[in-house]
Amino acid sequence: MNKKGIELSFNWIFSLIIGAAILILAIYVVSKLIGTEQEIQVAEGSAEFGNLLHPLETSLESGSRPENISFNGEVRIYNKCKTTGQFGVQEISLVKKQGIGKEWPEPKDPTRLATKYVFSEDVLEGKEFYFFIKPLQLPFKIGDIIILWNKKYCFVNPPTEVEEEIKSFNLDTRNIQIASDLRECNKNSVSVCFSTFDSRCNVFVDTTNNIVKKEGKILFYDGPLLYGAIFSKPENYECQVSRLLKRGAFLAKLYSEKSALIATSSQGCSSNLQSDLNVYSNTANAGNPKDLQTIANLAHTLDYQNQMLKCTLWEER
Amino acid sequence: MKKAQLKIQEMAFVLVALFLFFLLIGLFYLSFKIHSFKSSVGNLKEQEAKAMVRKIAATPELRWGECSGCIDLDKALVLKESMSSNKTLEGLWDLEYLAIETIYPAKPDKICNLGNYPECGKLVLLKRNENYGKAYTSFVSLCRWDNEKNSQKCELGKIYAAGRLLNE
Repeated sequence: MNKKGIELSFNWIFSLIIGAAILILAIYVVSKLIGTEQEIQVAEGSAEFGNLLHPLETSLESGSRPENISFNGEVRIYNKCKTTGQFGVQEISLVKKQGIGKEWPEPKDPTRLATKYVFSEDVLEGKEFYFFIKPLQLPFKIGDIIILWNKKYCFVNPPTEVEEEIKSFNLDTRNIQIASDLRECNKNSVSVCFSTFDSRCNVFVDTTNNIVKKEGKILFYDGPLLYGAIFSKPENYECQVSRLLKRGAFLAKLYSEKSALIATSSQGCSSNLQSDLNVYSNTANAGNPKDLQTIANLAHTLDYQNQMLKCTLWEER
Repeated sequence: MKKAQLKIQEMAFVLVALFLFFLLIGLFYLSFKIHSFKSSVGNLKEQEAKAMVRKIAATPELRWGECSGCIDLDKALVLKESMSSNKTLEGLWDLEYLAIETIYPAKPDKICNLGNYPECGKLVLLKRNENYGKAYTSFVSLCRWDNEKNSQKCELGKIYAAGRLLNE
C-alpha cells in the first residue's frame, strides 16, 4: 500500500483550501479596486475637462482659438445637451481607455454646465481634439459657442469670409482643408460644400438662405452658428440653439428691466425699446431653432434702435 | 499533540498572519487613495473657482461690452432682483457666493437694492449659505448710467466669488 499518498493529501488539501480562499479574496479585492479606480478616473476626467471649458470665453474679441487639447492616451468625450430647466444644461464626460478591466468604462457623473454650449458629435474618440470659440451676438452677446471636433474636414468653395476666418484661426490644414473642387478633398475627410450642391458632399451649406443640410436634416443658422451646424450632430445643434435662444430671451428681459431702471431717472431714455425687447423675449423663449431668422431680424431692428440712444443698453462691438 | 497536528497549526497561524498583513497593507493603500482623491477633488474645485472669477465679468448677464473686465452695474442690479424672485436662476453659476463691491469712489456700506441704488457699496448676487468658504477676488470696472451727469460712468470695484463646498 502506498502511504505517502495519504500523508500528502491532508496537508496539501488543507493548504490548498486556505490558499484558494485567500487567492479568491485577493482577486475580488483587486477587481473591486480596479473598478473604483476606473470610476475615479472617469469622474476626474469629466471634472478636468469641465475646468478646461470654464476659461473658454471671449471678452471683446470676435473669436478665439486656444491650443488643441491633447491627452497621453486614447479618450472618449461624451457631449450631451439637455433643454430641461431655465437654460438647459451641457453635460460633458471624459473617459480614458483602460489597460485592464473594461476597455471603455461607462461615462458617469458628467460635468454639468448651464452656460456652456459645446457643438460637436455625440461621442468623440482620439488623443487630440481641436476647438475654437465664437461669441454669438443677437444683437447683444448671448453666449460663446465652442466648436469641438477631431475628424478631418474639407471645405469646398467656402465664401471669402469663412475662408479668412478659418485661416485667421491658424487651423492646421490637416484638420480643415480648403478646396476649390470636391475631388481635391482627402479620402477620409468630411466634405462640406458651399452653395453648389453635390450628392457626394457630406454637408451642404446654402449661404443664401442660411441653411445647412446634414444627415438628411435641415438646420437653420445665423452668424457663427454656421460652424455649429457643420461640426455637430443635428440633434445636438438643435438642442444647443434652443438653449441659446432661451438665454437670449432671459437677457432681452434683463435689458428691458434695465431700460425701465434707467428710464425713470433719464426722462424715459431707452423706454421705446422695451416693447420690442419683450417681443424678442417671448419669441426666443419658445426655443425653436426655426424661429432663428425671425429673431435675427428682430435683433437687427433692436441693434439699430439701441445705437440711436444716448443711454445705450448694450455696447457690443 | 502529534507532530503533524502542530505543523498544521503552525501553518494555519502563518497563513492567518500573512492574510492579516496583506489586509493591513490593503487598508493603508485604500486610505491613502481616498485621501489623495479628496485632495485632488478639492484642487479641481479651487481651480474651477479661480478660473470662473477671472471670467465672470465677461458673462453676458454681467458684461459691459465696451471694455474687457468691465461689469454693467445696472444690469447686475436687475439680475439680482430677478434672482431673488426666481431661484432657478441661481443655476447660472455653480457658485456659493457672488458679490460686487465698489472700491472707489467710496460708497455707503450698504447692500444694494432697488431702493438705495446707486448709493450703496455692495451688490450681493448669490449667497447660498453663510459658510460659503474662501472667496476669490478680482479687480473690475463697474459701469452704469449716471443720472446726474446724464452719461455713462465707470468706477473701480471688486468681484468676489466662492466655489461650492466640498462636503455638500
